Amino acid sequence: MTTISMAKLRDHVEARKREIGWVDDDASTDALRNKGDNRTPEKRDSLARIDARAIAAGKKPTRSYY
Amino acid sequence: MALPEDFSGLLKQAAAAFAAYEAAAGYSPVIVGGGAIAIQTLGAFMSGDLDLYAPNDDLLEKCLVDAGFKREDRQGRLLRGYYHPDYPAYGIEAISGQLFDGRSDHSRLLRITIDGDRAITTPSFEDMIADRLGQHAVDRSPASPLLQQARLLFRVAVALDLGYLKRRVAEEGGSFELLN
Repeated sequence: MTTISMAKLRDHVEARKREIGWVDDDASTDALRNKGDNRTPEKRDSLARIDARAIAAGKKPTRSYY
Repeated sequence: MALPEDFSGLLKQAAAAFAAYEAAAGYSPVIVGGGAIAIQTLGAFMSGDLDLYAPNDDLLEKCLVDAGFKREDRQGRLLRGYYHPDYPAYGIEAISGQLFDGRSDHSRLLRITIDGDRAITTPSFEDMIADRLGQHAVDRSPASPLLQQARLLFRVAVALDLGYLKRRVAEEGGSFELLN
């Protein structure tokens, strides 16, 4: 097993993102999201429940397609 | 982009449950799927649900509940979903079967320490890239987010073993050349 601290992982990934010119913004994040076409009914239900829980608690849900 | 604060908080709670699971079972649960990609890309991709590979369902439930997670109340279904009341925007779901159908090398699992000794475990970058490329081979849509996820993982990965990566991509039915 390879062990790494979250801090070292963060430093490495942030450095690599800078090197490749990756910009974390809404558009790039959304481009990486599964668009939901191949989700199972169970997974769609699960994501809907998570969204409902977040909204009921006054939290912003993580955007997902289902 | 750093991981969202509440997602990091959820991981800390999960790490407490994983430590208890590992103490009893001798191995840690493994975060797979979108949750693993969120962690490995440091939030470039985000997911509200964490799929978890942990073969002992009863032990997983005990450890999660002891760490403050709640079991989802779903009548008429096999109950395998959990959430933490302090982090309602996220859910945890246990998946069945073997990790990557038994094809991955468990010695390459990635243990990520948070808060001292507590840790979460994900598949290796190589296995996650292979998984995404394999799913892309089935999906085949030109703008497939799965391919984009694989390419980003390939570019930010820590210490890739290209020989292992190529083998795993082939095993998953993907195309290594698509990473370029």
